[in-house]
Amino acid sequence: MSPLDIIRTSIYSLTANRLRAALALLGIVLGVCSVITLMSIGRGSTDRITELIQGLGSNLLTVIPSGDPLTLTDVDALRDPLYTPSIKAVAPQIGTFGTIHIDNNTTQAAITGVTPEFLNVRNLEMGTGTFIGTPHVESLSEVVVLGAQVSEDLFGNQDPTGAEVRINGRQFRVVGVLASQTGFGSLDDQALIPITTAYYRLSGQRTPGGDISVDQISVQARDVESVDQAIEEIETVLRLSHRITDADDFTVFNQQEILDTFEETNQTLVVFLGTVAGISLLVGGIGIMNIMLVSVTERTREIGIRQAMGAKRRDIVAQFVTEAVFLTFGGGIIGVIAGLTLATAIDGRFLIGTEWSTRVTSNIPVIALIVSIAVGLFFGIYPAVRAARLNPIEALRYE
Amino acid sequence: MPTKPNNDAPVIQIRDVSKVYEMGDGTIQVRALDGVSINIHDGEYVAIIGASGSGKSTLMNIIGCLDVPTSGTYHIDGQAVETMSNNRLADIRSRKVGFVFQTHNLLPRLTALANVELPMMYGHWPNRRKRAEDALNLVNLGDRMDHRPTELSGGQQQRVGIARALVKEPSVLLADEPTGNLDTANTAEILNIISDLNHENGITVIVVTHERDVAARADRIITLSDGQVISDETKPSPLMTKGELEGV
Repeated sequence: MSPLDIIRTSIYSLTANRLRAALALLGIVLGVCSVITLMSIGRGSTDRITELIQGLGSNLLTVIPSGDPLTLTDVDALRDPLYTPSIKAVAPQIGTFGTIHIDNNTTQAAITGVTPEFLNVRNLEMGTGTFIGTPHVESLSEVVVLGAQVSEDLFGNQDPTGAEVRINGRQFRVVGVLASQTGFGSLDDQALIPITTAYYRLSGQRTPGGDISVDQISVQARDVESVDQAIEEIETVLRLSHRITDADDFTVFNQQEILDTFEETNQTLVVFLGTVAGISLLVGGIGIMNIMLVSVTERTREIGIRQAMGAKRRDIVAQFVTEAVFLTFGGGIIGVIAGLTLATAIDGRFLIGTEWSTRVTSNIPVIALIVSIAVGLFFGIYPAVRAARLNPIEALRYE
Repeated sequence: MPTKPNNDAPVIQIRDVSKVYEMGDGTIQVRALDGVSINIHDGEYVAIIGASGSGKSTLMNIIGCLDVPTSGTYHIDGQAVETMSNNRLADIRSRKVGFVFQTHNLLPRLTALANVELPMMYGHWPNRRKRAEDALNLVNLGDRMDHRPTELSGGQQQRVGIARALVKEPSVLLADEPTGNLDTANTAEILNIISDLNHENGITVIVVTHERDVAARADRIITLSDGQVISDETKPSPLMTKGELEGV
């Protein structure tokens, strides 16, 4: 039997019972469709997470205390280019919570005490006004830069620059508003004040040595390549200044490491989603096998006739396997189209206005199609072999 | 005596063939054929008759290479069948045996033409369409080629069956109760076609039947009973066969 004859014969058989073929196909369609949709959601979320974290800057390092507090002395030490040539900028932070209110409006916000370096280290952009300057820090000025969300909560769409707000009862003047950010560690819901103001006016914890403690130090390496070198310099400087001989009392976080961790987690999620979708494809395959077995029984006489006409076992096998593969491949194609449509629809409908989007990489449909063919081969073989093993004499007698 | 006086090897050569079926768990054995020996030569028109259970269906299955004997030897066109694999048997069926069934056994959704093309598909024949058309013309169905079996009468369906059997120019046309499902008029028509194929086209025909008058159309009647040949009679031929003509 030539390939063309096999294909023609299979189409002939499939069109004999269109409804049944369509139902068998549906299982595969749903399976492939869910594979495509879930995978593209998964890929989309990977993209998003990567984007969010990279938004922070991949040369950003974060030092937090894990024992004795970090202090402004440490910050000064880190700023010394002699010891830390790979470090571009150092931005210490003190964090606290506070209530901000104007005449008739109140909101809760994270209040962070920062230095002017913070703007560049964290890749921030101003919406309106100016950022906290060195004079503000030196003079313990009661000025505040609002996050976009905080500004909107308090002032709606008005520009609050120059307005007075009360933070935990103290009067602050708004000097600027940050541009709205999306992403990991967004500062939209924060209010930034000079670090000295935060320390002396709002919270204030002194170390036993009388030093000012900070909650976190953001460090910007010169570039992505010098990140590792910068980590070493930070560790050296801090070990010296903390006189550490054994375990470090601080931890340095690398943005890249966080990114890797998130990507790993997300990859697990994608694989999980893919597996769930794959199971539905498997169920579809079992449906195909079921239909093919019924079909073989029903067509026993036809098989007998074909055998009497000289069909070899491999001709019968080829015919039935091709039928199964047609079903799964057809289902695969429809499933890919449905999956792509669904992924696009999710984008347009549920993810509209968000930074999220599903992403279909070109290999997903190709893999889905190959898998659907494989499913047809796998689940079509057994019924086909059953058909080919029929005894022609009995098959011809079958009513 | 064979109707052909020349020394050609027989098309069908059955030697001491027995077929034993094991029933149940193998304790009960049914001997469907018991030491049958038959030679059939090119161009013969043979009827195999016998009551139900006489073994004629079993014999037909073996002649048609659908089954192999338990013991004894069977040669078709000089090829030993009893040791063949399933694939080789299928090959022999596709090239050497043309089946005509009682219930015509056409594929219902294929046209007459496609049904006739079917055996050639498995034998990788070239010019299938042309050959199928010729075969259908031979059984006077040239104007019904595109009809499906359900659109044809019983006699026409059986004629499609005959066209399908002879399209690949088989060594033997093997008809199993070819008129079993037909009325008198159609029976006569089918038997005439078979006779014509034998007399005019020289096709070797074996008809398996239980009807005496169907068998009477053949030149030679082999009677089976209880799995054994109990008589093998040749009628004097009213026409000279090809072999006889050559002998003149």
